[in-house]
Amino acid sequence: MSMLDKINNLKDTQCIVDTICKLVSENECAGCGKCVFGYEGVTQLQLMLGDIAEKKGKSTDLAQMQELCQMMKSQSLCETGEEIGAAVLAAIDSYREDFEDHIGRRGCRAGVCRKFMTYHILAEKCIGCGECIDACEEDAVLGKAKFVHVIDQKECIQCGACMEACEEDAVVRAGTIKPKCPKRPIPCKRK
Amino acid sequence: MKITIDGKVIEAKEGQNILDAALQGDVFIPHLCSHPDLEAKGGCRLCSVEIAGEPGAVPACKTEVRDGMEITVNGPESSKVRKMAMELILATHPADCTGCPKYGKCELQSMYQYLGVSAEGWRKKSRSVANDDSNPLVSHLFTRCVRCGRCIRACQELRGVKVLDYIRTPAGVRAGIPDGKSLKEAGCRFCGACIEVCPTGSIMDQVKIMKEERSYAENIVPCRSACPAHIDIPRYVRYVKDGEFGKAAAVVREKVPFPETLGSVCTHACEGECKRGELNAPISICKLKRSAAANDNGAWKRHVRKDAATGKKAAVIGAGPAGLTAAYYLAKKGHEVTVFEKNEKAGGQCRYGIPAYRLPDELLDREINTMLEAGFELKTGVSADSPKELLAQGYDAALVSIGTHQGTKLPIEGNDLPGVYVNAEFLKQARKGTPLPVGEKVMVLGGGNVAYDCARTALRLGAKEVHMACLEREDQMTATPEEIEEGRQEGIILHAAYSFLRILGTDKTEGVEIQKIARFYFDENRKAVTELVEGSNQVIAADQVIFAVGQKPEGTDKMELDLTHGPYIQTDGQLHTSMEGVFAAGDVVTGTKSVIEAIAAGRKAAQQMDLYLGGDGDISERLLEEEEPSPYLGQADGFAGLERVEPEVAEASARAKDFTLVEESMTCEQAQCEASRCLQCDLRLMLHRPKLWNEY
Amino acid sequence: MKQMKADVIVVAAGLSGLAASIAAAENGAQVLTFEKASTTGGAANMGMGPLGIGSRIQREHMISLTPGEAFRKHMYFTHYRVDARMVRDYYFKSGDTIDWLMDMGVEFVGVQRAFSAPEDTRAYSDGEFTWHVCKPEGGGVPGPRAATSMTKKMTEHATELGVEFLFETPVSKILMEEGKAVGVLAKTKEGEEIEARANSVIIATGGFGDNPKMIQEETGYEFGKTIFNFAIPGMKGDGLKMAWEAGAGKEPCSMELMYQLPDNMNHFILDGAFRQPCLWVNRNGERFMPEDQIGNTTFTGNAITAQPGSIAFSIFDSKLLKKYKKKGPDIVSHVHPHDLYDHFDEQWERDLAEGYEPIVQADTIEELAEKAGIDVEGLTAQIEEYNEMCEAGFDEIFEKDRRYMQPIAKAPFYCCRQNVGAYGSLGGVKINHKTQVLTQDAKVIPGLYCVGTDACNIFGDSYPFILSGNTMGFCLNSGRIAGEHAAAELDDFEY
Repeated sequence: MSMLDKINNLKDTQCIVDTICKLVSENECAGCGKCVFGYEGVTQLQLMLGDIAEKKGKSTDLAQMQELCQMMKSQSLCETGEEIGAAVLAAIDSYREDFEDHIGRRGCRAGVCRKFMTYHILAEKCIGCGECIDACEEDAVLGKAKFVHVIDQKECIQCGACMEACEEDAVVRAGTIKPKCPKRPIPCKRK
Repeated sequence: MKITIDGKVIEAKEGQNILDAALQGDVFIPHLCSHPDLEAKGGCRLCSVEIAGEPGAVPACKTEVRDGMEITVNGPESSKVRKMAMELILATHPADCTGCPKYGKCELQSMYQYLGVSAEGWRKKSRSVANDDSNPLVSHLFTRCVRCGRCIRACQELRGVKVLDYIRTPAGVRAGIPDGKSLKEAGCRFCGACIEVCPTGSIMDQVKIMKEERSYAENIVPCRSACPAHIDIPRYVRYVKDGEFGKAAAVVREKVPFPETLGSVCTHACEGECKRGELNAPISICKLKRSAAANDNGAWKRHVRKDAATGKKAAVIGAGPAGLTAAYYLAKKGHEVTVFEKNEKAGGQCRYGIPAYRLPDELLDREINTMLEAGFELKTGVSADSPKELLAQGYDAALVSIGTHQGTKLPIEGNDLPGVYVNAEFLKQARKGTPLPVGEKVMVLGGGNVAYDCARTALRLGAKEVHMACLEREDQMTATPEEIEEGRQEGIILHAAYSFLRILGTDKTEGVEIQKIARFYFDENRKAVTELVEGSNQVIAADQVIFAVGQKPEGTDKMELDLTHGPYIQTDGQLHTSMEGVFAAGDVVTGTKSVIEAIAAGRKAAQQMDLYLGGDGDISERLLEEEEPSPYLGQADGFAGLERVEPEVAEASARAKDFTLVEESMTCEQAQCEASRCLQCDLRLMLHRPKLWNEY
Repeated sequence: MKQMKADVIVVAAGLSGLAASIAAAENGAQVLTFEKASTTGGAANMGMGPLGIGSRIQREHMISLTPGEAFRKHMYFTHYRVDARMVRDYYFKSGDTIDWLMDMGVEFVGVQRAFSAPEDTRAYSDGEFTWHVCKPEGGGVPGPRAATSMTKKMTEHATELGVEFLFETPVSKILMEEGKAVGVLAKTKEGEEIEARANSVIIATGGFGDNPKMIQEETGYEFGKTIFNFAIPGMKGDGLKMAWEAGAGKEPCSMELMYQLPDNMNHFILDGAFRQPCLWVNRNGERFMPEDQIGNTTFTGNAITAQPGSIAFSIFDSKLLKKYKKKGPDIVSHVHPHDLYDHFDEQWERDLAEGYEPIVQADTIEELAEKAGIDVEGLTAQIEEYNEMCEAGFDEIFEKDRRYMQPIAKAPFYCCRQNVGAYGSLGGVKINHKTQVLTQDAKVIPGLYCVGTDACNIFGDSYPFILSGNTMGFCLNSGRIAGEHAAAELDDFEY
């Protein structure tokens, strides 16, 4: 399947930013190096798309990528570079909103890009056992025994270790819509 | 055909690309991946231009010219492409150039100076690679690689060596050696083309090779610059490789008139600088010269220079290598030259200082006779002691080149005993066939090549046990390692780092007392200081003692010339002495040096005297047609490991009996084989350096 | 030997040489400029822009600093131990020099200060807005190398004025006759010798940053051991040696200090990553300066020089590293990439694997100290004390800015040795305020000028970072002064 086909047949569970970033990285251009627009162009696309997926996109990124891809289309040494340029342009055309959501830090619609996901502990399920506190390498979980634990979003690196550790299914992952949770530890309702 | 670039009409050739046509027409178009000696690939796009009637921008290096084509270099489209390309290159190139050895000579730096763009708008990425100095001669600093592919094309296509290629690494794609091999393992021929064409500091000559005091060209071909006469060494070695010995001899003869003599006795400073020495052993440059001369077909004679007679007369006092060389070139310049030689035969130290087992009479006679064909008069057995008188006799200029033929003794006890000789006299009498008497045991004092000449001559005159003692440690001795080794094979007993205290004996020489030296050095006043090991004294029995501790000129005190350091003649930078019209050159000016230095001095004397006599001072000769060597080297298995070929040397026990030649000339096959080890460093200088924007 | 003739010979075409060439040519001289490299610009090609005071742009931006005030500041900074007349002439010319450059087509994005001090130290270490940063072609954010756009315009202008450049042609000697400079000897790349004669010779070769022997002899530092300066190839001290040989007097030379990592180009990410106000100690494990000052490369370079072995160590823990990765560095430098922590792990792993010697990672403080060559007890005690102060929120020793009081507690720990660095050498050739070369007893050597870094004797012991852009500023203005004087002297000759 060509890059364009893959983009056009995107499933709901797939994120365009993540998908196109992987397609660009897997492309043979990334391992060739014989032309500036092919090789350095792919390098820039990888870096920019990677940043966008990691919530580090810049407002100027879309326009810059479009400008770059136009050049890749006309100035690469072979069709591969041209194809990548065309594919990224098409992706931006078709999924502009998704890109802008990522760049604007609003979220990843498909729920794929980890940096856009947040972890939360539901007050109604938490028993204050401390398993998640022990599992967190970042010391991002606040709380003590018998108090509902709370994830400090500033410290959290979205690794998901707490979710795996929790036997009560109290830890959930959220995209754009976040569950309501206490701001600081409160005594547990559930014993 | 004609094309127009930015309104300027220039001439272009059918089939040429726009970039080449523009650069030839002195119109600058930025470019990075293309190079005058390599096929253009169009990867960098810095040479983008616009063509009237065609949309967009095209790479000038990949676009063929058409008659009447109208080209704009800095149109809106082409400028945009060029700037973005440069920005993209810079975005992953190290941001800080200050640590880069190519700074100031970097094409990329020049190109961004011209374009003035900044990569700040792009994502940065560092593709750092550890510097690699593990290969001989070449430094790899691939952090700076911009993937232009010039080194790869030079290695693959231009040279056909096929070592470098694009390689994939975790840090990205770059130029390199596939499969993690070293350059030696990969079959590199160390021609340096990759270094020469690299536009950045990714592939560089190793720092130790580039000496500050030498020019770039001298550093690239160090053998040629190390040779006092600047013989075009790589050129003749290449002819030897191709079996064209006549042409090789002609190349040597363009600079020196004694090729076979030099091939036999030269001190070959060139070999010490030979870059092949960094791989395993230097090219046997000296001995290749001998085989070139031994197989000379004389074709060069068709090209020799003979200028019209000038009517000027020049006298040369002393027919050693300096005097004969000067006379030879002065004669070619049309002057009437007479050489006065006090001894019965010409040759100077070559005749009377160097033993026949290294340089036979027949060889020397042959070379001198060939020189005489240049048309100068040689008067042997005639002393000329006064340059002033020669001028009075009608000579317009005179050269004093009498060498250093007086041996010196050290002021130690017993130095006037019977049986104490000095080097010059001992060697001269042996060469003349009237040797000084030699007993069972002989001690030579000194550690230079002349000391070995004395020791090995004594052996050949019948001595049973020959000792040598010198102040220097073996690794500091001025004798060449080859000489020391040959002496050892012949049974010379060396006492290195010994001081000589006294010569023992009452009415004849009986022995020498020597003492071990702990340390030997020159103090701040250049005075020799020796620290001795107490209780290490020993006596070596000897019937004769030969001083080989230096020689000095004879008779200069009567020449009415200003002298320096005792008996040496003082000259200015132009070899002019204190007397108008009188020049001096060779050992009599510099102290005892080598034959090649005497020849170089003779050449310089000829130039200066020619100028003095009203000529232009140009003594250069072209003895063969200029031929462009092939840039293609091809692959050669195990090239780096090829061993140095040594000529046949007579068995030590056999050769030490008489004065027959110790070492044969190489066979033609041997010589060709040895010459094929040459790295051909000079090929690099034939590549064209791209002209930078500031040179248009 | 090839013979050449000109009115003025300029030795080297870096920033000062270009300025001298243009100034002389503008005033009617026929100029011959020798350059060892194949490009113009010299060390300036790495910089971003020069100092100027009283320029058009400054007036437009309502920057009111006057040359007189700058002069006073400079003299205060150097304790009046430098040639006040030279400093005065330089600053009073510097604003006009910016205008002069702009008239040539050089564009500046604006005026900056290189260094803005933290609030507490602002009174004495803040930078003035004197740094005219060059504008990249076609706009965009200026970065390192921005000044190439200036050297390019200057080169073009010089060529228009008829300056003849000889590239890859180093000068080896100043020809002196009867105590006057009359020309130079040079050699081309191919080895051809040139004897060029002129009424004046202006030396502008940029110091001896690439000459370890001279660094040792003139400043006492050992290259690769006690100092890791920028060794820009070609900066061999040619000009100083030639000037001294021609009879020039000697002024003390210094190194323009800062700090950096060995082989920093291949370890650029780490170079930037450790330039943070974390914990800085010397070989004994003791802190030696308030780390909030490490953005001041001059002061930090000086401070490291004063430590045992002239080395220091920058240390942070995993928690701090995480914070830097997440929130960016505490102190952002002009030179290093802003997103450098995104690439930290990759570079760190690679450098550890390759055995890059200044860096160490360990799971305990003891192991860290041991591996890095820091006194184990000293460092352990220091960190204990430091962490307590962090807890208390106040640095009782140096009163470091509270924001940066972040403990070193969570393994693994990261440490990177910091060495004294330098941009290059400064000064050496004795000159007067007209940039004429003087003998040791201050007599003018006729026909000989020396400018730029070779003759920059006005900085005293440290780079005057409070008036930033000063190295380039002095190069430009001293060069211009020399060019004008050399051309003016020509008139004296002819009439």
